[in-house]
Amino acid sequence: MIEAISFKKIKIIEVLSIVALVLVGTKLSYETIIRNEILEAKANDLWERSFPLVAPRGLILDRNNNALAINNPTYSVAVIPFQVVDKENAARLIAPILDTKEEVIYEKISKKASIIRLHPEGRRISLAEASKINDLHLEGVYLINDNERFYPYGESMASLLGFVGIDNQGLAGIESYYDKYLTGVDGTLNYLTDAKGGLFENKSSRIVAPLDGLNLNLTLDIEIQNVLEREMSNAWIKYNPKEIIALAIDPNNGEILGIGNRPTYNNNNYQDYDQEVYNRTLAVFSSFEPGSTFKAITFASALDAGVIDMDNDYYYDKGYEIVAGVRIKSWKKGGHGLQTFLEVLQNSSNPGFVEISRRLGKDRLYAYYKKFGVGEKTGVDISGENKGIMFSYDKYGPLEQATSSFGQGVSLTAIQLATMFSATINGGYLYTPHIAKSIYTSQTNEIVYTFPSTPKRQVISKEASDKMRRALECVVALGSGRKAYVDGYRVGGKTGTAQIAENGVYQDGRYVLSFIAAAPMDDPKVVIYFAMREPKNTIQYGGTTVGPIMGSILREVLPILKVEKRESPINREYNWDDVKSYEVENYIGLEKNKVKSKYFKFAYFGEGNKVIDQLPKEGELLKEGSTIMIMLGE
Amino acid sequence: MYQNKRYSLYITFITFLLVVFGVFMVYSASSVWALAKFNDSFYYLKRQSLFALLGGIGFFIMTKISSDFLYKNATKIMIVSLVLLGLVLIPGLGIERNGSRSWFGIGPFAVQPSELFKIAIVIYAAKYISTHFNETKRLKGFLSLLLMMVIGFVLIMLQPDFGTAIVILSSLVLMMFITKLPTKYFVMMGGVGVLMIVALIIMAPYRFQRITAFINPWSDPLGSGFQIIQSLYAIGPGALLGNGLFASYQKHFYLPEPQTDFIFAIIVEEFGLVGGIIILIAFALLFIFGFKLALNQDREFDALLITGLLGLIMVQVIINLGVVVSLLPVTGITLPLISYGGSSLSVCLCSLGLIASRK
Repeated sequence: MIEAISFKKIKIIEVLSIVALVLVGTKLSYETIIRNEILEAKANDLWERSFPLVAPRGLILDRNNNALAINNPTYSVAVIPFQVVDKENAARLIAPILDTKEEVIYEKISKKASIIRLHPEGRRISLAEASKINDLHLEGVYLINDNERFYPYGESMASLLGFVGIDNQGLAGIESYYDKYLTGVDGTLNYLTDAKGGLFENKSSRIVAPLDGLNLNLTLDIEIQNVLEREMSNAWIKYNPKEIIALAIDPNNGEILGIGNRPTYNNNNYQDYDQEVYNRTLAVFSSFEPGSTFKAITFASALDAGVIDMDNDYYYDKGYEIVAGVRIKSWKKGGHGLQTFLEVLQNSSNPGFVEISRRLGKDRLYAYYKKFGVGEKTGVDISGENKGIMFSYDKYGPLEQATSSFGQGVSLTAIQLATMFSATINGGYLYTPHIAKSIYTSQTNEIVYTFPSTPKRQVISKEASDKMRRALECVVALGSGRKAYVDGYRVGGKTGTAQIAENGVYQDGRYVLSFIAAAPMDDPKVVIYFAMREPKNTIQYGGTTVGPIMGSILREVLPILKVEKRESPINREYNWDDVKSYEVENYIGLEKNKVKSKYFKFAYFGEGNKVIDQLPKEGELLKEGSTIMIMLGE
Repeated sequence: MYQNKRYSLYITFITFLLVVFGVFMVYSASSVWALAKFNDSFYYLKRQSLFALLGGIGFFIMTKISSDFLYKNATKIMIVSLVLLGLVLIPGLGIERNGSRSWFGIGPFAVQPSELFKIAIVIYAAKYISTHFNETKRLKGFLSLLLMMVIGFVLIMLQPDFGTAIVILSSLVLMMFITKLPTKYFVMMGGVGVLMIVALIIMAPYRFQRITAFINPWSDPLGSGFQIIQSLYAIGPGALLGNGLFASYQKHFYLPEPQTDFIFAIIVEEFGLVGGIIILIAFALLFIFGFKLALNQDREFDALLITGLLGLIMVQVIINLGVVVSLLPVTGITLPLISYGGSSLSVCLCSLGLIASRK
């Protein structure tokens, strides 16, 4: 019998060994059953490699689905290094096709990575290069479908549309602003590999399909854009200015129908240009004194406030007004004489606007300009918007009030001016201008989102706006904007000639010539703005130089917008058959008691016994029984 | 005794079942690495088959060796193995692998003298305890055994082979435990053991990292936690029934040397929880029949010998499986009978041969 051994202790060891194995079994069950999913997911991450499937970027189209930015199919070369058996040979064969050095390729395909894209030499290669590589039948060398952005219109709209980088990421313009919609989600081809990157045989791969980017419809109309572009190109050659801006918007909702500028660049080769050129959409970036075009805003404010009756209130333009000791002159030597306020606008009389600003007074004038959005970004969906310049209330003295009323001292971008001008004729609503109309999926053509057109606020009353339409139509039909008159269409607008100020000093001979127009005036469908900065070899006057350009733009744009031709009642007024019209005689220089007529009545203004001015002027046709205004003086 | 014969038969049967399955799994686990390293996917299979054959021969030779022979020559065997342990440390004679100088090179094979030492010290301890059992009530009675143990332990730690040292130490403690030595000494020894482990960690801080790594392997996924994570990535996806034969992913270069320390992970990956539990049951049965055999012995020497040899295998199995399922820190101990390794397999089979033949 064994004496030295404890049987009990052997039993204890036996039990302990079984307990230990049970513990192992328990932990094993825990890892295989309870933690199975977690561990399998983690392990899958380890085993799975993915091959990129490039998602096509969304297209950019105009409002009628004409493509402005498209994708051209190209190829990129991808290499799975582990699968390339003879790397030197592969490098030797690939290098000449991609026009690079053997060592460069060799170094890249020898990297320890599961997958390598030959960047940049193997990115976006041509179909010919791709088929050459395909013909090599090299194991581990793959061609991936890729896309290259292409802009069919090149230089036109380049600033607006912008461009994308090598990975199709939006870098400028619309491409950048709406990148999140346009960018798709790249898919992957997932496959399992061993730790060295080798493919498992007979293991199925899993495809995560790429999600195409969303297509973006702009509010832009390519036909209108083409008209603007052509006129800009012509003016660029003819007048050799520093900048040209052209803008067309729908006054009823703020939709931008056309927008462009010179200088421009070709966004298909954006690398060849300066950042300054391609980052600036001048219609939103460039701000300058609007000059007389701004009188429309002042005039609308005065109509809304009721401080003038444009047909029955009179102003005598003696050629100047003195404000705070400064003489503000009329552009016409000696002034325009006696005018209704409508004629003040038609003649673009600066002293007349000084009078309007006085009638409104500081507070109202300031409040109207603020309401119209002077010095405030419009919030347009184009990057790089400038807010322009507006006086602070404290510094808005009598002289500032006077000059700002005719567009000096304030600074506006084209988009600001077009937006506030729209408000004067659309019933009084200030809209947020915008270029994006809607986005839709390329798979189902289903509209995902429509960008809203909501007015920011009402600035003037509908009545004031109605009067503005007639006033602006008169400017074109009878006043300073005559050169923009288009036969058969009811066009309204205002010219602008602004001297350029640098460091607070007006520069001799350097002007921004501009014209803002709308049509048809009984139901405005479009507002067009055209401005040239420092044009050469021309009369430095907006009406003379830009007027005809505006005329030819409207002549083509209005049929595009399907605006019917109709005669303006302003011209018809003189041709009524039931009331006879007679020519006005000259009364200037006569004594007051010598003023007589068979057909007309007279109303007298001023102190004195001698007629110094009359309205209407000699030779104009006037209905029988009408009143002729007589200005008396000494 | 008829009962003992039956236990011997069971032990032999389970042993060879595990060895055959092991050879098969070594092939499954190693073929990918073997192809990459030696351009021969059967490289490890061929060698392990040879080791199994040699081990099998060893097993049957051991069954022919009588207890008397072992008893008489215990000291000689002990001295020879100590000398070999000393020699393997001499550069030029010993071959260094993975930072440990533990092998003698013989032709294309390498032999680990520490494996032989495991058996030698168990035989020696069995003899020593059985002859000095009267003194074994006091710790003083173990002095010369302890001396041998310390020499062997130091020599093995010089290689260094921490895992083997722990296995040998544990096995000897088990042998002493089953004597009538009061339990308080084991409590003391436990204290000393903890102090030693602390000392060893202070000597080599990488061991501490290994210990923390098994608690949260993801704290250092590319360093000390790497092997544990890779092991769990094999086990976890294995689920109930596994990926199927040869269908392990982790053996594809993810799990380093899957045919050795982590072969159990590959078994679970291919055969699932069910496969793993079957292996656990096989080992449990091996231990149960082994201890039953120990309990049925007439001589103290035989009972101690069986307990000691079985203890060696048992400790290795438990530590290896504990590591693979992330219950214990990584130690570098292979799974007896299944993992690839000539010395380990041969010595393990010889041990089982000795166990199975005790009447």
